[in-house]
Amino acid sequence: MKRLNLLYTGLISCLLLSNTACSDYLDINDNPNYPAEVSYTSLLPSGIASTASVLGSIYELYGGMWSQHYMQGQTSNQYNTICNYSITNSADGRLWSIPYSISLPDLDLVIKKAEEEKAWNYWAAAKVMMAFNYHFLVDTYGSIPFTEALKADEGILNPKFDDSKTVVYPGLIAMLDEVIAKSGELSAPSLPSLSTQDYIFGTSKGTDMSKWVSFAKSLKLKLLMRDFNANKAAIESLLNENDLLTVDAKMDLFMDLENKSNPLYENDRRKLNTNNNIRACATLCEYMKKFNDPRLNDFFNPNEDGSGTTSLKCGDRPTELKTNQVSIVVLEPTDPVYLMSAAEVAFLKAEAYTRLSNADKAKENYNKGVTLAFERWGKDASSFIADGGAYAFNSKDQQSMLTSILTQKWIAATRCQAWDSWFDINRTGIPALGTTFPDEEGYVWGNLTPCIGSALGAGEYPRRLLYPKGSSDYNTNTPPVIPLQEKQWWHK
Amino acid sequence: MISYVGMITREVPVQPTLNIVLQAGSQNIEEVVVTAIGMKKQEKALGYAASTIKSDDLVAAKSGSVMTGLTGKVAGINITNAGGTGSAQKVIVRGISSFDANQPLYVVDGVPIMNEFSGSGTESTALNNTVDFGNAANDINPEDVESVTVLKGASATALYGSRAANGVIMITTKRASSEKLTVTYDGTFMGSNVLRVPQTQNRFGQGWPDWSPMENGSWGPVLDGREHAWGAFSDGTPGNLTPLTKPFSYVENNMRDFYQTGFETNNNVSVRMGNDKLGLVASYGNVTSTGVMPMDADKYQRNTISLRGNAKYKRFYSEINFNYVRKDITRPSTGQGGQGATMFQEILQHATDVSISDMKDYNNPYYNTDNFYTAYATNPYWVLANNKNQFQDDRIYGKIEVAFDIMEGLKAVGRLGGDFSNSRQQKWNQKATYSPGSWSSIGGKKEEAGSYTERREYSGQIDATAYLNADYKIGEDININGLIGWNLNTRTFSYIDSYLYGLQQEDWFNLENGADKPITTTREENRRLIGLFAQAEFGYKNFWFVNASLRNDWSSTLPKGKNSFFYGGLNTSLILTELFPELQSDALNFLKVRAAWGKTGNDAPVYRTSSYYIPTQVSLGFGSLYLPINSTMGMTEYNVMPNTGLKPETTTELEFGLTTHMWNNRINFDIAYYNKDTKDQIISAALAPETRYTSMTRNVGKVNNHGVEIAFSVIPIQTKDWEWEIGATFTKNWSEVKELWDGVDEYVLKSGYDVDLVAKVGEPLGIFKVPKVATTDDGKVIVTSAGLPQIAAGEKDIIGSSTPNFLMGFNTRLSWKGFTLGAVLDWRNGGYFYSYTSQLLTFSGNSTMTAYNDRQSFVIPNSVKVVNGQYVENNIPVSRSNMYNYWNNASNKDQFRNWVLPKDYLKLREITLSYSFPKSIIKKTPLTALQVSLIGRNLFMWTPKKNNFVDPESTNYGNDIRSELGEFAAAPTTRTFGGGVKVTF
Repeated sequence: MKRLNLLYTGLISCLLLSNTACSDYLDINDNPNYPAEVSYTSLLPSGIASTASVLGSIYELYGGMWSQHYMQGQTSNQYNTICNYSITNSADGRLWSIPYSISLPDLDLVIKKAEEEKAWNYWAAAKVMMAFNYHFLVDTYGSIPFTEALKADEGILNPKFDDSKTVVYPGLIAMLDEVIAKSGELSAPSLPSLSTQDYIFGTSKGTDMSKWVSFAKSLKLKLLMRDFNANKAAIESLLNENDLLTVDAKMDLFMDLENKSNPLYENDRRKLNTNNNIRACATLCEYMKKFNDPRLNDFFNPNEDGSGTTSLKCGDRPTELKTNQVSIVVLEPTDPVYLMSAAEVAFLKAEAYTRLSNADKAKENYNKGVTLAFERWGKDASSFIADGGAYAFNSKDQQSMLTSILTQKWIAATRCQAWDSWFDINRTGIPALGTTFPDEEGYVWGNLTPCIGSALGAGEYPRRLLYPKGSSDYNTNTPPVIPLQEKQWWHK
Repeated sequence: MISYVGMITREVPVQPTLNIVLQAGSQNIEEVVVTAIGMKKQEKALGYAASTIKSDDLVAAKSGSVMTGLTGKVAGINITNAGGTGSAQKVIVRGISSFDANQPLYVVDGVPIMNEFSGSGTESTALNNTVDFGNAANDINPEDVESVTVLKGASATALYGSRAANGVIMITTKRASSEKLTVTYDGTFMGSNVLRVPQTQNRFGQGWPDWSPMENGSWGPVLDGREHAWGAFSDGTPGNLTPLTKPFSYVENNMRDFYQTGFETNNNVSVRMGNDKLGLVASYGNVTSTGVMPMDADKYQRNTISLRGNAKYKRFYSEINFNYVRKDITRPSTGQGGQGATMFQEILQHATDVSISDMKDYNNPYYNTDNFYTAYATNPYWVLANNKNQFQDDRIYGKIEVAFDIMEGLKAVGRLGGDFSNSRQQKWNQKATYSPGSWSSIGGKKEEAGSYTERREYSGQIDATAYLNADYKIGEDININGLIGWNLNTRTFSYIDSYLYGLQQEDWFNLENGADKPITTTREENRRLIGLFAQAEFGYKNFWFVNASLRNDWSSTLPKGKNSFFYGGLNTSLILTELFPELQSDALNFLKVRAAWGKTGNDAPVYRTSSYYIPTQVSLGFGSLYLPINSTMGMTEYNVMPNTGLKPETTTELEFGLTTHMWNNRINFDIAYYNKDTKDQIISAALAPETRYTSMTRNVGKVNNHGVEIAFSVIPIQTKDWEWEIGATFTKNWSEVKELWDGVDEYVLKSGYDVDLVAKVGEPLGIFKVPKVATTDDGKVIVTSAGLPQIAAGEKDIIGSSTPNFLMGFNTRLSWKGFTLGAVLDWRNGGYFYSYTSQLLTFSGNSTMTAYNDRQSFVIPNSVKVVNGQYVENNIPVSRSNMYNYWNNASNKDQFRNWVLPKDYLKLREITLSYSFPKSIIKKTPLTALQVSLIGRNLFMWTPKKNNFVDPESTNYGNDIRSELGEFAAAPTTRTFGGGVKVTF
């Protein structure tokens, strides 16, 4: 037995030895394939590109269908559920998950890291992008996680949902005000270089940071317009200051290559097994044909059989039309993704001046907006906006002015910011929801039509998206699903 | 008996009743089994279940696969094959217990080997363009195997620890002892065909819903046999081809005729010799299988070379085992096409009146890419010729072992094992363009950009073990055996994967053939584990045995400072027939009861304890945006939240069993009951995205499995010339998910369309959920304005579990003089699987269910419609012209329940008839033995009526829990038949 005791003593000491030697030998669990730390200079491009990719694809698609620019083709089925509003909470969770789990965390890291290093140019761009992300989330979903969002590392796995009116919108305006307040420090020579990392305004020579400030102010104006009466003074002061965007805030770097092209083009045209899904919707297409709008074929291809530019009524699936007898919408791989276009800003100003009863300024900005919207496609608007022209400003009364402005804004949003058009339809009621179709008696040109086969009740329209299943299932604070047709507080 | 490997063989008086005519496979009490760490033990001393299958049974049907040879022969284990030769094998020991990995550990001659699945489809999201190149454990040539022991419970496997929570398959290779030189040739020559093709309806022909020459699918008019124009330009569209004509009638055996007869050869040569100092075995094996796809589009070739030697010099012993495996595999893609068309998808949607095999000449102007009859599919022959997957793998595994007798009863053993594999995978999808004015172009068919992927993969494992083994006898009655040892395991996995989309030139599959650079990714993963183990065994008077084992592991994948974990097992057996010798008789030869308790731990996947950043790639559903763009890179925080508090997973198992041999050992019976809990599983558990992560690595859940396994064999006839043996196994497992995490009660394992395979608290692990129909309070179906059932948003119905109620295997062997007739039946009762094949056939109007009511208009019974917010009786008919929408997965999600099929089957796995020439004839030749045989594998399969589609075993999701979802237009399984010859010189 003595021999056995010796053996055990030896084994125990061996165990101890191996235990201490072990710890270094086993310390190999940091991923060797990827960096454990990166700089804000690589996080900012990620935050911007991921925002553009979801906005320019899925949001653009929903916006295009619901603004009645586009319609599901009659011979295929890809987007049926979007067209007829049969949206469930498991549809397109990426609308929520891409901003929350890619864009916002990366922007949040840029803000934190840039603040530490006083890299105010990166900080400002990230702040504006963060406000922009929350803007389209809150406009789409209503109350959203805001004050407790993105805080898993602090142990918050069930962030609460903040009230949109009292917490989120004021929070976003405060975020933008921070940037505006810092505007003097954004171009200091001591700042790190910001050039091609800025996918929005950057050039190889650098970024003109005043554009980010103008973007912040324009976005602020847009948010304030959700409650015009309450924000009248702030709106007036922004208008008077006259430092709003005069260029497009857009990501315009796409190429005709797989995984590098315009996200809607990539997702629909390059990757689906048919290019026949997205077709012209009669509501917009017939309007443009009626007024001989020269942008018609910038938006809608002529039918492949050469029989003109035929459109589909909202939700219609006529069996008599062959696949090559209806217009397919134009999408190009190099189409930019617009966050906020100069035309949108002009229309926003026109609307604000209208509501402030300044008809002259309203008309001036309306004409500017229409001109910019035509110029985007290399077309001349002058004959259209001239007195007596098809799109001449109707200054008869406030409602007429608003109708002129928002109808042209609705057309301008095509192949550009269709998601924004959906927000405007809900906010202003223009274009109005009609009860007839363009080929019917009594149709008012420029009105939206009913949707054939709508899953909603008569006269109902999508006012929001449903809280996604990915949130409902795993966040105990996610409120019950609110029906698609229930209006938000800023809706008309 | 080679005693140096393990404990010293105890001398046991040979029982006079022991019948040496017993065939391999029946439980012989003096049988020695190989247990953990390669320790050899007498079966009777074991306190846990260990089933051993010997070479003869293993290779009877010459499948070329070790685990196929075990099918239906071992209780408590479920072995399924995904498809034809060389496809993935799923081996589940005592039920599925893990949300992720459930495959057992394979150990060859005491050294763990790798068992990675090669191919795609195993991720929870992967559905399209999948391919199956099989799993690495299938590389072992069964002709090299002496025996296979399945260690099932935690107590049996505790010494292997970490990776043995799902059981251990212990493989012992053949070795030469003192024997003269022999050369054996063993060859089989087999044909194969498709076991099951889906049955199609024969009443309706091409159209959707009206006849159209452009449509695939069979929603068209009643087949009336009239001669009619069909195909390109037959609808009056002007074109450069004169339309073809054919009768509008059902094409019999349309799919079966598409497939060809496969051919498979299995050739083995082995040489062995030895004396009392040295033993040598060398073998070469080749399996070449040309499968059932036309144009030889699926091929499998495996070459194995094995060299094994053992030597003895004074008190030293050594053993060397070296194996080289080369595999060459060609496969078509399965599932849906994403990057390029997949063949299965094309033939399943084919119109019933259009002959597939007539279009074999895919260059014929009527059948080529320009003018193939439908714009919604591609000629399947063109697909097979142009879209392929290839795999090559060079692998070396083996061991070097040295042992030394320090003194009487004490020995030291050192064993170094290695397993290294280098593979190359290629996938290509041909570019396709259509001439202007061609039928495809008019039909708006999308051109194929073409793609090429090449992947080089390396995986390596080094496993070193050293131990001291002491064996002492105290007095006459007490035997003590102790073992203490050390183990080191390191594993490396790396790859470089390059993918090119958009081929510039047709037919040139090379990464340089693109407008842009390919997308290339590289990975390296390293993990290390150190273990210390000890085992003590106590034997008293040949009737009572107690065994205790302990192990502590330190793993690199667990958080620093918290990476040590401890576990072990305790088991005991009591031989009642020895304790009370008066019990022993010719009627009862042997009776043993046993009990075991064990716990095993398991570490985490690599790199889950710290965060990192990856290049931004935003997936939008179909397309993606990849950075860099504009020459500027963007990096994003990885979306899985790391966890610095990870604990190891643990499995705790309690088992009881009884073994008995009766009637002069002609009846053998073994029963085991087990109950195991698996908890703290490490998974990426979903988080709400607003937290900033989409999932978090964490310890979750608790899964219970308990069950009964029975092995029974009887030799009813045993005479000089005749012997008949019958064996049966019974396996029954109950599983229940006890907990998930944080109040979450459901976790989706994998989905196909709207069918989810989920882990749900209170249910067996892996249940199917399908969309639920909206009903009124009194149970009436609410219909849409089209008269189709409305779906209750966000709710799903449970159909049932993927796991069987029970499994039974039957095998029998009848010998008369030199003739032996053997058969193996495998019966699976219960469980479900999702069949996309049935969905697609139904969608396209081809399945027999779509002929329901002769496609006449009907109103959904017991249904209501909504009028002004009120429910009124539904009178909206599903019309003849809308029938296709009723059976369509997009417009009527209620159909999904029809595509979750019963998984039951009864299969004739093996039937063999062999004849060994008598010695009297052999003596006159240079041969020492000669055997010829006729062999059939999977000759027949019976399934419930509802499944007239596929072999329920087939899958394209690999070989673990996610493959339980079912099949997604997977490759068919095959029936094989032929003959073999075995010659020994």
